[in-house]
Amino acid sequence: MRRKNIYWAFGIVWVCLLLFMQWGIKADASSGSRNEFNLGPKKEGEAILFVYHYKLNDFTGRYEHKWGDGAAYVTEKLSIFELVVNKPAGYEVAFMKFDGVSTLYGDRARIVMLTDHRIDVYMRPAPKYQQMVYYYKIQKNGGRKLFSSRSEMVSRGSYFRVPFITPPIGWHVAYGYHYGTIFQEGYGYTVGGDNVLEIYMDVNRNYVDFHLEKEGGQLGRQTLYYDSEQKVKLKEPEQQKPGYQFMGWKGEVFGREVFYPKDEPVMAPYSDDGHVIDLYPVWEKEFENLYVEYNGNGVAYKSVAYGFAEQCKLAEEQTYDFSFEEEGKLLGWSFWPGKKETDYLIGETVDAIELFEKAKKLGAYKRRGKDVTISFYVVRDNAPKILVYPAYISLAEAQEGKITKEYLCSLIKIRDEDDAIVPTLEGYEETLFINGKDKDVLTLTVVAKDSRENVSKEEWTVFLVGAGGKHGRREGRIRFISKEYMGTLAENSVWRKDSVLQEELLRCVNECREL
Amino acid sequence: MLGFMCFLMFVVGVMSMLTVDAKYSRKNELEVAMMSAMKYAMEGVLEERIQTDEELERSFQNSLRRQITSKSELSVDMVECDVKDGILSAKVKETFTYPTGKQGELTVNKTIIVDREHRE
Repeated sequence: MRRKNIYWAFGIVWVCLLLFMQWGIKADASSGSRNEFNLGPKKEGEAILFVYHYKLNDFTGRYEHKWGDGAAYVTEKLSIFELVVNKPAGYEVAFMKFDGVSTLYGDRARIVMLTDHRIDVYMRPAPKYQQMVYYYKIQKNGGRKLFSSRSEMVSRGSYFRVPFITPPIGWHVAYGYHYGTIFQEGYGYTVGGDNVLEIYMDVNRNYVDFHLEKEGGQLGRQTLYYDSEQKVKLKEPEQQKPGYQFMGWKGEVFGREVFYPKDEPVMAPYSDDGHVIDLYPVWEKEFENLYVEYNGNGVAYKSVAYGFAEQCKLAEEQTYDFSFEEEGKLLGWSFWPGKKETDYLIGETVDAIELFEKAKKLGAYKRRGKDVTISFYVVRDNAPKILVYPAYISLAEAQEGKITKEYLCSLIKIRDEDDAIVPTLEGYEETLFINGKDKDVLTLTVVAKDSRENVSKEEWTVFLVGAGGKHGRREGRIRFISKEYMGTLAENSVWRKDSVLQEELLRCVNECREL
Repeated sequence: MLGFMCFLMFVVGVMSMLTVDAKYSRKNELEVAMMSAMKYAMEGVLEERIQTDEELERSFQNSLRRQITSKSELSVDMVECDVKDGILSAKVKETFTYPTGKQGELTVNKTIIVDREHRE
């Protein structure tokens, strides 16, 4: 009720005000006459000023006036006047000044005539427009592809500031490219013609800095490109910690402790471009106990357990009994059987960590839980092997002094895989041969010594045989025989008559024939 | 192209000749050495310098190996070695390398006896 009264009061006051204003208006006797005052065009800066005084035809009329005229129009108060400026060719309305105070933009104005008004219309040459084409491109994995493009018209001669687009999440604007000029945000220039602008966007990067220790220097850096779909593997530390196994990286990402296990791909965290993450390696001991197993000649001995930081003293020759069939000097230990080169010498002292690292590099270790066993194999220098057979020496040659030490040595064969051995003879005396008699049996000792002082000895029997021999001579004639010549045997040959011998001979020639 | 083919044929020809010659030479050497060693050993039997089968075998092998001077590996397989009966039969295999690098192998078989009259 009370609100309704307020409305009534407001309406009455408004009506009274209108009546009062009507009372003040006089009918213009000179209606239709033209009071023209043309100030004419004048220049103000680059803009050309035209002043118009418009005259309305009727109360709510629309007055269109031709370019170049100043005009005045008289109408009643409170009538509505609409001004539409006809722009001359090549010009446009810069702005209009209403009563020299208010600025109106556009090429038309609608005002209520309260009193005499003056409208100044400022014109300027219409600019020529140029097309600006923007290509927003994204760069990824070395390639570029179009993200979006747009074009707009910009007046020639105006100063133009290139707008940068808002990039998608995880991306940033890297740079722009304008006819050979690489620019950043805020770049602008005076437009002189059609322009093609390329703006490149890069995916945000996280820099992962690897450190060996908290206070240590930087090991390296890896760039992680933000990609919500793809995970990447973190690098492993190039510098390994002897005796320790790399488990992964730990660090702090945006205030949260993180652990990235080894070989497990991770996703780059979303961040602004250039965010740096510091990571530190997580190490774990490779073993708790290390055992050394010594192998040789089919037997193996396992050592006591060595702790992680302990030193191992490798076995010496007398430490274990290998009872080798073949004598030879023990040179050292090898990770592999049948090797001639030693990896460690006998009795050598070596750090357990160093020993493990070497075995790990060669793949020569066995692991059971936290215990590691490294197998060693003996490396021996083979002793020389002497090959001698009883020798029958002509007595005549012996008595003539032709049987020298060198001659006898030439009848001996030595086999050694490691060295070239020249044998020596013990018990040789030249007089024994010169003064020798038929059927004398001389016993010599052949000695072979290799470069590593391995010595082999062998008894050698030498028979002195006289010419024609005082030995008894068996009856018979020596002859080669084959199956084809079996028929050439004499009728009374033992090989024909004796069935046992015949069978034996037949077997021999047949067996030889088969080959 | 023709020149290259001729050169290739020439090389192949020379290699073939060397191979054939190597085999022939080695076979000859082995046969002569084997016959000589067997004869020497069997003469020892006749002269009673060699009394046991083992001595006979050693004498033969010793003599054979001393006579083979070319680079090769000898493998002696005794078929029969009997001093009492007077028979020595052996198969000798020589392994060697041809000038072309290929492995070669030779086998020579011989049997030697002391032939005598049968008496009742």
